[in-house]
Amino acid sequence: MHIAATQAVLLIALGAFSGLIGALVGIGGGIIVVPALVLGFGCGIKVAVATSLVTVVATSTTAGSVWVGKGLANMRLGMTLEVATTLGGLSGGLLAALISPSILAGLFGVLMGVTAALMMRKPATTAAASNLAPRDQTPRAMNDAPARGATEPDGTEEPGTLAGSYVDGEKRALVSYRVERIWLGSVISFAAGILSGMLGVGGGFIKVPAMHLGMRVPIKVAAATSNFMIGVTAISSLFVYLARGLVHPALAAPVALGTLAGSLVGTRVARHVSATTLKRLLAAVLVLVAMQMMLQSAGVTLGH
Amino acid sequence: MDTERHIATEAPRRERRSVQLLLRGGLALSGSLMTAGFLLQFAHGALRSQGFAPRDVLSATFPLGERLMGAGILVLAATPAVRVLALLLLWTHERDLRFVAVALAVIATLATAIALGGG
Repeated sequence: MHIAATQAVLLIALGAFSGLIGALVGIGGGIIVVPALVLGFGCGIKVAVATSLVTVVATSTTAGSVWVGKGLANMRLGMTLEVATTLGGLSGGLLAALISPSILAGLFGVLMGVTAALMMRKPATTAAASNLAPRDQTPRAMNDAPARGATEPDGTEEPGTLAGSYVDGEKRALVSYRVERIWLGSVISFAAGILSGMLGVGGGFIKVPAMHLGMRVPIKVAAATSNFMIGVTAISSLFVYLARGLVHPALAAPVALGTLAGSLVGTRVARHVSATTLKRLLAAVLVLVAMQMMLQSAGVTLGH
Repeated sequence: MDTERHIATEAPRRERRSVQLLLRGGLALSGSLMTAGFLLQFAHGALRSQGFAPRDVLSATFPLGERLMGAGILVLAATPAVRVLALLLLWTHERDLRFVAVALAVIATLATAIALGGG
């Protein structure tokens, strides 16, 4: 298929939009990219999923590099949950022949709807917060001094534990947090991995609520840590798609380049977005995913 | 006490800088390759959606622009895997044994998933 100049521009714009939303709420953007490629560009579902996986890695790497630098992504928490996610992905690949993906999609659709409602009802996390000193005094006032050239102190992790702290740019406060119920997060991450292996989605839309509602991680840390994680979840599938020749560079490269730009903008915007707005945006994404999955369960599947 | 305090404040910062540098390096390289390949194909009006396997990067039957974009995608795909290896090395150096075990478990599962082709 020849790609016209207008289509190339639209592919870059699609990637930019997906990267922007992905970096804001901690998802890879597959739920945006796959339907757009199938319905808007006439791609086959497998090529669309393969392209989507490239954009998930692009979002994860771009946003992850920013969030890691700011100390917002908790790398120890991310890696701990990656064990469960990758195990789930492996199990999902093996279980795909035994369980109907439409039944699973229906169950997850209901689950996502309930989670969206919980996200809207849940009060703001009551993490310990301390007001920062004025901007020009903050670096020396903080225990963890800023990186060279930085205007604000960064968050950090406690070695040997899953606890940490981050700077909430909107409230101008250092927020400390501890991670609770790691078993619950691991179980849900395992389920997200199964879904990823069976349906070809990144699973960020499950991991963020799991960390925030289940493990009491602040929403901004949950979204940033999800961004950090999803690249690893995606590559195990992406290597398979690459080996099968399903990745089309002329399609994937412009979408990925747009994603890189959109994710960078998303990371800048996210610092000024309130936790409430972030939760509302995530809840809207969850409702979209829930509808998509329930339609798939009912046999109305995009591209199949 | 001083050693413990040093580990508590310096180690996380060093980890963050190392991982950030690695991710940015992967992004810069893959972004440059994809941009160059895309512009080359775009300039020739030769953007075509067609399958591409990793070995095709070295195949002369594919246009240079297509191969550059393919190489960029491969570098991008490899970056998160290299990041996991980097954290394994950093945590080993810091003797953060709990998370060394976690990183090893991720690498083992990823390797199994890729080997089985069902990840």
